[in-house]
Amino acid sequence: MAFSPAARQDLEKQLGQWAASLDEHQLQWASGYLAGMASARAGALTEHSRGVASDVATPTVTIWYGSETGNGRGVAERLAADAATRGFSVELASTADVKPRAIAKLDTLLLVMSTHGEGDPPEDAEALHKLVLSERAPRLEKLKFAVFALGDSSYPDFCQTGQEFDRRLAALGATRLMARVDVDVDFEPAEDAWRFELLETLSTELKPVDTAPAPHLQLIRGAAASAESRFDRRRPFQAEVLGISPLTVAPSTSPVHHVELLVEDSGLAWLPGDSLGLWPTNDPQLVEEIIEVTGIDSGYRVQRGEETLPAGEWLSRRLELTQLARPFLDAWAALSDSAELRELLVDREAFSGWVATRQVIDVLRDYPAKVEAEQLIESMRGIAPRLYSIASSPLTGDDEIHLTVKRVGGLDQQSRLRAGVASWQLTESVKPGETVPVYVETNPRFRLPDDPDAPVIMIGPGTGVAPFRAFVQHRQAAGAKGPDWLFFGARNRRTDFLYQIEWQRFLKEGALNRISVAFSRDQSEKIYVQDRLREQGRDVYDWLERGAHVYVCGDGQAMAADVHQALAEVITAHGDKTEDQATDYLESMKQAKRYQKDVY
Amino acid sequence: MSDLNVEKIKSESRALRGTLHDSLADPTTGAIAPGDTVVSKFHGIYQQDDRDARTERRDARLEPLYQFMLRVRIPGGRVTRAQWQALDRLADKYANGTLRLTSRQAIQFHGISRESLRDLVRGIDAVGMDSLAACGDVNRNVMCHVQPELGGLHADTLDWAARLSAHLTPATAAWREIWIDGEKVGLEGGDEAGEDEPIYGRAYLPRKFKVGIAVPPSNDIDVFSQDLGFIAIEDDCNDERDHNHHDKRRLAGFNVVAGGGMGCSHGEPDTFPLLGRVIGFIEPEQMLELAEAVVTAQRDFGDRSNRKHARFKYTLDDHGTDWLLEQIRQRSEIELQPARPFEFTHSGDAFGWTERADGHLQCTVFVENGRIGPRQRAGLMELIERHLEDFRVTPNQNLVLTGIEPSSREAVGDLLAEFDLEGGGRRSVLRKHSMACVALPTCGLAMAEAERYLPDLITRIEELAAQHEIEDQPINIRMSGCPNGCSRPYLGEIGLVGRAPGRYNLYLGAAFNGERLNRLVMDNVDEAAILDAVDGWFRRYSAERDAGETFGNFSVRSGLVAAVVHGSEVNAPASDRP
Repeated sequence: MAFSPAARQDLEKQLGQWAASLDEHQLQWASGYLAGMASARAGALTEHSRGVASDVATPTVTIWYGSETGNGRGVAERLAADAATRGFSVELASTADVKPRAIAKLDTLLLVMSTHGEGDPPEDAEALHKLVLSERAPRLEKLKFAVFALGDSSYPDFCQTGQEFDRRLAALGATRLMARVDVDVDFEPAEDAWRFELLETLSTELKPVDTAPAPHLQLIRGAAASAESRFDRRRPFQAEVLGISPLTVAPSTSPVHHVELLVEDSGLAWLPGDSLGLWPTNDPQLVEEIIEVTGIDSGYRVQRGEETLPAGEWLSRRLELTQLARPFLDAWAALSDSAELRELLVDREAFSGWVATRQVIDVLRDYPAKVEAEQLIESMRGIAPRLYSIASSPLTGDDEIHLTVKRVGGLDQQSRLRAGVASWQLTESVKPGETVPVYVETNPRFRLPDDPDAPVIMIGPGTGVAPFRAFVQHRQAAGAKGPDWLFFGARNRRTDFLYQIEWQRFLKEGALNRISVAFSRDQSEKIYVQDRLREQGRDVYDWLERGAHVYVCGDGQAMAADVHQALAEVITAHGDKTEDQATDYLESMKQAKRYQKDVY
Repeated sequence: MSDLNVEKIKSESRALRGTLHDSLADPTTGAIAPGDTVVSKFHGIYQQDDRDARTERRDARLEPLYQFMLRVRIPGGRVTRAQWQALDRLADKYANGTLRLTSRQAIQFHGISRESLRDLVRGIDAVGMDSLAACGDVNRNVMCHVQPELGGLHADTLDWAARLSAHLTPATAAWREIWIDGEKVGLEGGDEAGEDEPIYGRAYLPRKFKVGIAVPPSNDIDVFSQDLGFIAIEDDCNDERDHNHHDKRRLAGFNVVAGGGMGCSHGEPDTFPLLGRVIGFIEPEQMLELAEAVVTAQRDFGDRSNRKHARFKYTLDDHGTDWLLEQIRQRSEIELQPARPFEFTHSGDAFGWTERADGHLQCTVFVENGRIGPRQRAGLMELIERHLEDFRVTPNQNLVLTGIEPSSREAVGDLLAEFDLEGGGRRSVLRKHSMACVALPTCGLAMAEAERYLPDLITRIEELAAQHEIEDQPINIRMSGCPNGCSRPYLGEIGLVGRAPGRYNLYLGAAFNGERLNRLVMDNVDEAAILDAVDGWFRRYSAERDAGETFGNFSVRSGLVAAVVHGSEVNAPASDRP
C-alpha cells in the first residue's frame, strides 16, 4: 500500500495531538494496541525475516513464549509492546512457531514459559524444551536471557518448566539479564514489576536508539493481537447473563449447563476455538463461612499490595477460596503452628491428593489459628479468571457468547458449599439479567481450516464438545462445503448427550455430515471416543488422506493421549504404515496445523 | 403419525421389515425412524416417550425420553407359570418394573429402552409367547372369556379362539428375523413380500381389527365393541340341561356380531363409536372361513384414504348388512342362518371364588386399572409358585387365579391380603367395576390422565355412593385419556373421556350388560362438575330406582339421558336430550 511522505506527516500530526492527551502509561499501552492492530490486519502471519532486524540500527530483542492457556502469550505480548515503545526491535513468537536450533543465533531472549499439569512443558514448547535440555543442545555463550515462569501453585512442581529453562540456559553459557521470576495464576502485579525492571535493565545493557525512525515490532505467525477490543483480561467486559439452562437431566452424575451471555456493543471479537475468560465471584455462603471460622470483621479495611478494601470484598471477589495453593499452606502452617500441615507440605506423594480434595475453608477449620484480618488476606492467593471454550460462532450474529459449563463439586454432605467457583457461580448462583466480567482469550492454536472445503474431524467428549458447536455453527453460516464429522462421548445417552437435538438438526440440515457417539455406561463394556475412532478406522484414515483437519478438545490428559494412540493405530492399520511412520504422519499433520488440541 | 403416509409405509415395508434393523442400531437417538414407528406396531411395539419429562428435556436440548411399550399377545388371556415367571423377571430387567394387564387380555411392558427391546422379545419367545400383531393394522389379540373349567361350552369356545387367532396371525417371518435372530435378512424387493400374506396382502388392513368371543350370560369381552364378535350359543336340543353338570352343555355355534368399535375424535361428528350388529348364526366349523371373509372384505373395501374412517365399523355402516352378507357369500360360500336368542346380564367380571367341576377353586382378583407394580408382582409370584396352575387375564384388566386346592384357600386368601391384592370384599363394587386406559405419561395420544387419576376420582364417587346408600350397586365407570377409547368408555354406565389436563367429556347411560352405548351429557368439565353431576344422578337413582334396576338403565328410563340408538348420537349435542 502506498504511504506517501505527506500522508505520513498528516498522520503524525493527528497522532501527536491525540497522544498529547495521554499520560505515560496510557501512551505505552496505546503503542502496543496499535502495533497489535497492525499485525492483526496483516493477518498476523508476517514471515519472520532476520534481514529486517539487521537492517535496522536498533538492538533486537527476541521474545518467545510457551503458553498453554494464553496467559503466557498475554505476558509476552505486553512485554513486546512495551519493548517496542522503548525503541527496541522486537521479534515475538510462540515456541510452537520457531525452529528450536534458532536459539543458537539469538543475542537476547526473553522467555515467557508456562508449566503445564504435573510439571510438564506446554505442548507448544515441547520441541524447544527437548532440545535445550538434551545433550545435543548448542552452546549459548553469546546469549543474554531472562525467564518469566508461569505456574499454578495448586499443583506440585510449580513453575518447573520455566525453572528448567532458566537453569539450563545458564548452564549452556548464557548470561542472565535478571533473576527468573516465578508467578502464580494471580500474576498481574508481579508481571508489571518484572516487565518494568527487565526493560530498565535491557535499556542499560542494549542502549536502544531513542531517535530510531520507528520502533520495530515483528510478530511471528500465530502471535495474535488481543488488542482488538477495549476489553481484555485486565479490563473485562461486564456481560449480561441471558440464560442458564441444564444440558443434562437426572440421574446424570455430571451436570452440565448451557450459559448464554450478551456481548452486544462490547467489541469483543472471537473465532471458534477461542476461550472466554471469566473473573468469578466467590459464593456469599462460602465467604460467610470463612468470616465465621476466622472471626474477622468483614467490613474491616485491609491493605494488600497497593489496594485497600474491606475484608469481605477481598474474600468475595479478589482472593482464591476454592483452590489450595502451596504458598497459602506454607503461611497457614506457620500461623496455625500445625505439625500435620508442615509434614504434609514435604510429603510429595500425599500433597496433590490432599490439596485436590480440600478448599481454603477446610484448612481454616481443621487447622485453626488466631489471625488478624491482614494476616489472613495476605496469606491467600489472588483469584484468577477461569477459561471456558466458547460454544457459539460470532457468525450467528446475535451478539451472544455461549458456554458449556460442567459444575465441579457442589454441596457436601453437611450442605456446605464445596464447588468450583466459576462453575458454581454460572450454574447455580448468577441470575439472568446480572452481569459477569469477561474477556476473550484468543487461541490461535485451535482454528478451523482456512480452506472451507477441507474436511474436519472433531473429537470432543463431555464439555470438550463446546468449541465444536461453534465450529459447526461457523462452517454452516460461512457456507463451508467441507464435510464435518463429530466424535462425542459421555456416560449415558439419555441423560448426558450434550446438545443432542442440535446435532440432530445439524445432521438433517447437512451442516454436520457424520456423528459417532460413545456412551461409556450404556452397555456392560465401557466404550469411549477412541474406540469409535478405531471402529471407524477405515473411514477416519480415508478422511485424513483427503486432508481432514483433526481437532481434539476435552478435559483430562488421558483422553487426548488415548485419542492420539487410536489415531496412530488407525494410520498404522489402514495406511499400511509402521508405528514410526504413523508417528511421523501425525507429526506432519501437527506441523501443517491439521492436528490441533485444546486439552485442559 | 398423522403426517406419515401409513399406507405407503405398510405396502413398502417388505412384509413388516421396514428399516427396523438399521433403526435399532442408530446410536444418536433412542428413537426409531418415523416410518418404523408404524411398522413396529405390527410387531407389538409402540414407540412412546415419557411425557412428564418432555419439557425438561426439550429445555436441556435433549430429545424426548423415548421408550417403548411391548404388548404380549395372549389369545384368551392364559399365562402359564413358566411364562409368568419370565414376565415377572423381564419386567424388572428390561422395563419399568410393572406389568400392565390390558382391556384386550394382553400384557404390556412399559418404559423399555430401545437397546433392551431385543432382549425382552427374546425373553418372551423363550417361554413360547410373542408380540406379533398385538398392535397394528391387523387382527389383534383375540378375546375370549377366561375360565374354560366352568364347563364344556367355555372350553370349546376357548379352543376356537386359539384356532381363530392362529388363522388370522400375519404370516411374515419379519418378527423372528428382527427380534430373535437379529440378522438383516429378508426380502429386498417389494412384490414378493405380499405373497407371504395370503389374508392381508402387501398393505395389510386399512386399520386395526378386533375379534372377540363371548359366552352368555357374561359379556365380559364387550362383544358389541368388536369389529367381529362371536356369541357362543348353546345347543338347544339339550333342553333338560342341568347347570350342575357342565359337561352336558354343547356348543351349537355362534351368533356373528359385526362392525363394533369405540374410537372417535373430539369435534369430528363423522367419527363415532358403534355397537356391532348381530348378522346371523354360523356353525363352529364355519368360523375361520367366515372370519377370513369378513377380514378380506374389510381389506378390500375399507377406506384407505382416511384413517379416521378406516375401521370396519364405518365400512359396514356405509355399505350395510346386506352388502356384508353378500361379501361373505362370495368369499366363503357361507350362508348365515338366523341369529339364535341369547341373553347377557353383565359385562364386568364376577369377582371372588368359584368352584370347578374337578373340585379345585378359582379366584377372580381385582387389579386396579390392570397395573401390577413391584409389590403385587411379588405376591403374585408367591401365589403362582406355591398354589396356582396359571393366571388368566380377564377382558376387564383383572386376573383369575386358577387350580387352587380347597385346602389352600385360606393360605391364598392370606397372601392376597398380605400383598394388597383383592380377593375378597375390601374394595368397593364401584371400584371393582372401574376401568381406565394407560394414558399419561407414556401414551402419545392421551389428552388427560386416566390410570393415574381414576382411583382418586373413584374414592370421591364412593363417598357419594355411600351418602346415597347405593354403595352395593355395581356401576361400570370407565375412563380413557383420549377419545380412541381403549377402556371402552362409551360402554360405561358412566364414561369419562379426556379433553385436556383435568378436563373430561362426561357420558351417561350405557347398559350394564354392554348392549347400549352411553351419551355425552357434559362437555369438557372438571372434577367438581363431574362430582356435582354424579351426586345428582345418585340422589335420583337411590330414590327412584326399581328393584334390580341397573344404574345405566335407570338413567335412560328416568329421562336423565336419552337412549342412544346409533353410535353417531353418542357425541350429539345435548339438545337431543329429552
